[in-house]
Amino acid sequence: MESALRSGALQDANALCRPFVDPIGDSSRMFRAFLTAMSQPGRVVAAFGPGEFPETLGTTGFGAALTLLDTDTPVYLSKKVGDAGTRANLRFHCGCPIVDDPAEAAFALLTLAEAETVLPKLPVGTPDYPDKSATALILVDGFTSDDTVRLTGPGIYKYKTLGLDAPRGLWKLLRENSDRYPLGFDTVFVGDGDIVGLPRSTRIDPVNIVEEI
Amino acid sequence: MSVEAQPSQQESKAGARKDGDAVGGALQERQKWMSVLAKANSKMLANKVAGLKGLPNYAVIRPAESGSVMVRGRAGGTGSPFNLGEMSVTRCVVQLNGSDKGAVIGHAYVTGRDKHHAESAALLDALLQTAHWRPIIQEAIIAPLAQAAESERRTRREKVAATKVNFFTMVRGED
Repeated sequence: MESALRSGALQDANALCRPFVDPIGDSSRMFRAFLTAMSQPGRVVAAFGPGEFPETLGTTGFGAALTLLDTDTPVYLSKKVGDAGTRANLRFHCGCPIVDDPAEAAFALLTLAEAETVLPKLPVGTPDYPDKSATALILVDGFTSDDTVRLTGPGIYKYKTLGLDAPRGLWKLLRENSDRYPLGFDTVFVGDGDIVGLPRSTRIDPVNIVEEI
Repeated sequence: MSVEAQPSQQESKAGARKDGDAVGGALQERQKWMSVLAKANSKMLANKVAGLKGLPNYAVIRPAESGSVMVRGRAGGTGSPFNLGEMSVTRCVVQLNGSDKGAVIGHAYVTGRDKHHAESAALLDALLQTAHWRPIIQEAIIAPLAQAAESERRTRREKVAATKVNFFTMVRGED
């Protein structure tokens, strides 16, 4: 009576995806990956997701959503991410409230192209409660071996380089974000099969760009 | 896992108010068959499902899982609510793919810990939403089960009625 195995993005936009095969084990392993990524900023950490996933999220993005989102985490979905199928899947599998205003979100799911417009609207916490801030999950195609930026800060021995093909304005924005520490949002870049954490505590410097960003 | 007080039911109630009588009627019908399936005997249900020929493929979207729900009551039906206690509930969600309506999703919440019961009920709920299977299942499964439940209720009512005792107080004639 079990259905034939299917994989990849679903054809029917309204269809629900099958979540993790081993919900407890898989989401624990993914959570471990997030802990590693956030404690060692800039390190490319292996991550994964279910075989079926909403097309806008990709498998790793869906895996991240299943791991991190629940009824207590209001989620903002950017225009390119939040189609009807993705909303239906997140609402069903995570039970998370989906908010239209990024300022109300605990998590934001967005593409790299939308980062510069969405990130400035995310909550950064208050001096008394810096934890009342958002975590941005930015979906990227992947990481490169070039050294785009140099990272320093807690969790990094001396310095670390990260290769990511992102607009210069985004690096500037993330740098300004780390300037207002302990306030600020945290960022995780979600690639295809890997993630990179960039918490607000990490200092970003350009490598090949001579002038100050 | 803890299940919050059956969101699907709340949603369907809200939907019935919003969308008018036609949709409300369809919802009431679905509520009826979901209720029959949830209260049915698990083995009987499994036998009936096995008897259906040419079932379509389905995917288990939320594998059957058991947890507990808090049952709340109101004294006399109108008093302030109190927590009566927790009860075991098993839920399951399946999805039919490639049917005439696209993806059809079947839900089931059943009391107890019988995962097969929840999965059979969810599958039948999905099938009952398709034009092809509805008449077949209504006739072969829902109607007989509803009838069996009704006759059981009637027998019980009659048995209880037969042992009814009327209490009365003798007037002591003091006035």
